[in-house]
Amino acid sequence: MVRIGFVSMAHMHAFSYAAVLQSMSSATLTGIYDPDSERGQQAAEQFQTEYHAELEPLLERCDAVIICSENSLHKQYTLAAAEVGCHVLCEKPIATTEEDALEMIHACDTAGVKLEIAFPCRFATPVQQAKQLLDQGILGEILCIKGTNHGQMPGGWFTDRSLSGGGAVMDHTVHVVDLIRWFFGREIKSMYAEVDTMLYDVDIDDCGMLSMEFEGGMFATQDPSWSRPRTFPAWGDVLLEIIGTKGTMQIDAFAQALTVYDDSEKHVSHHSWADNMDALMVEHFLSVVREDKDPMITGYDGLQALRAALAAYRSSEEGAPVPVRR
Amino acid sequence: MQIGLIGCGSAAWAQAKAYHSLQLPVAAAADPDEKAAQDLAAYLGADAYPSLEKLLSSTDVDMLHICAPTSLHAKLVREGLEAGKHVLCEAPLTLDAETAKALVDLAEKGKRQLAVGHVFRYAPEYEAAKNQLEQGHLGSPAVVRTSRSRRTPIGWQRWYQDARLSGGVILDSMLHDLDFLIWCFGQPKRILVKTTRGRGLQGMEHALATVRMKNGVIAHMEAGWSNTSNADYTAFEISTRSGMISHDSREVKGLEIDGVQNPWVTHGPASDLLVQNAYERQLQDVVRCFAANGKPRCTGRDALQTMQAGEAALASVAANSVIHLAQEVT
Repeated sequence: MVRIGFVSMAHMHAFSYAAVLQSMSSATLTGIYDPDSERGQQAAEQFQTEYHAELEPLLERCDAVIICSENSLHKQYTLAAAEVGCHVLCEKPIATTEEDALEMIHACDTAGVKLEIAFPCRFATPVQQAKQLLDQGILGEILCIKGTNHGQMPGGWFTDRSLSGGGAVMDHTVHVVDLIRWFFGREIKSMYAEVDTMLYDVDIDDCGMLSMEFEGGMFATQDPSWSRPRTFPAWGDVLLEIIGTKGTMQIDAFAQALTVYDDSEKHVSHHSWADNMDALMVEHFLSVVREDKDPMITGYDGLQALRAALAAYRSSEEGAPVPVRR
Repeated sequence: MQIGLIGCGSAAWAQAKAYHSLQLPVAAAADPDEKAAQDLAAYLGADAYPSLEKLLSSTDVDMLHICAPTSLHAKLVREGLEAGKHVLCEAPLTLDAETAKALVDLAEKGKRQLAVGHVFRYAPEYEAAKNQLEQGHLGSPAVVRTSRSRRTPIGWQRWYQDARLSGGVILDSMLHDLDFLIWCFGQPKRILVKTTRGRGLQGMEHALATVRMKNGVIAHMEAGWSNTSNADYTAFEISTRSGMISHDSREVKGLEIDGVQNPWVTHGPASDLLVQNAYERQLQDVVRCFAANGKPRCTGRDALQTMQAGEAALASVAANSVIHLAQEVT
């Protein structure tokens, strides 16, 4: 039985991961630490577990933690977990600076604990199927990719730069970049981006457009904008169109959903009937901890996705393509 | 208005159907391919000629409609204008902005009308989107995405496949969306385009562009020549401060029957599911403007602006970097 603790419920994904854990027989939800005591207590009640006002006592009772804090706090919590030998599943993006990400990777390496970054889209069944087909070379040589990870404007700490490290581009670049890197095992060579604030009265970027060149002559664009209106029937999308010499593949990670028209709410919304990608990811993480396996999504994967987002900001400031470090 | 149709290939046939249904009289059709000219002329009840020169010397028309391959546009438009004719030229007007400018100047100097067939300015789905934006209830636009795909075109002696003659997918297809962006939002400020040109099989090409407009709008354009079965579509999405407008022709299914090959066109400028499709609306407006000295939706000068942006798109591919557009050439 793997004992899992939650470190902060600041990111909404925490609630999905906790619900998933609660239903699993191979793990126990040991407790929830949250510096926001009200949020933490409510969540503990909801998931029938203990609330901890202090981090250390929780860490001592856990084999692993799921960190869903604000982005800029990922580092301090990861370091604290590593220090006492707790494995870490960390919400994306890994951190808000390269230095923080490198420190996290180093600390986990040194302590011999697993560090996995939460990119649940890799676990969506249509995406898994796509990966298998791509590995078989079904599309021939890959020429270019069009990606989107649109979303609604999340508000809250996501628009506070000191906590989030960036707006839409920080929030929504990393999923698509991670999928492309994973599919093809190639790194980004250069990044060009337009980044701006045009949709909301927020003091952070809410829209952008990225154009990247990958190793091997493949290029890709990605739209990370918080451009889904309040009336949009879903939170957003993760779409990839992959163009190869032998054919074109379209991936919609969230297509398996009903459309529900609700007069009482005066709203149309999508309700997923897909396999639960969060559950599949958490199950995978548990197996990594239990069987001492390598994580599928490493700290380095998190770092490379973060570097892409940071390069997008740099490019937008310089008004020119910039190289992406590796 | 006596009309002469120049070039009798596939582009001309799309127009011929529109002339036919509008019952606009086409007096003459010219093409160096004798059979092509005769077939089209017979369909329209027109006289066939082997060249524009022959047509001009043998018959008196008021306007010419240039449907020849792009690389011949400049020469044919110039000859038409010099002969004192109004000219409607299929898009793109030319393969570069300098040549386009010379034609626009020539038309203005000779007080002849020049219009260019950026037909999506007459497509009701695009027009409706522009109207929605102009009504203002959706707030200012921020992020725009356009997509456009067609079956890899072949054309006479495969001219489409020679980018020097056609401009490839960027001038053939993406230019329509660039024109739509300019029509709605004004001039672009900078543009970065990447294309698979020369790397795909059997003439396929796929291009992706990032554009920043002078009014701040960030746009993404996708254009493809594809050999897949679902190759023919257009789509756009305009995110604004208070909403979003979206259109995807693949989702617009006004009329379909399973089990038989649909004999009608369900979307695009040649749609059979409109009393007047975009080709017909365009022809009707252009002919009326030419007759009454009105202003068609895409004048030569409008097309020149679009061409300047198209030229920047090609330059971006050549330089593999972002191109900042110069001030408008006037």
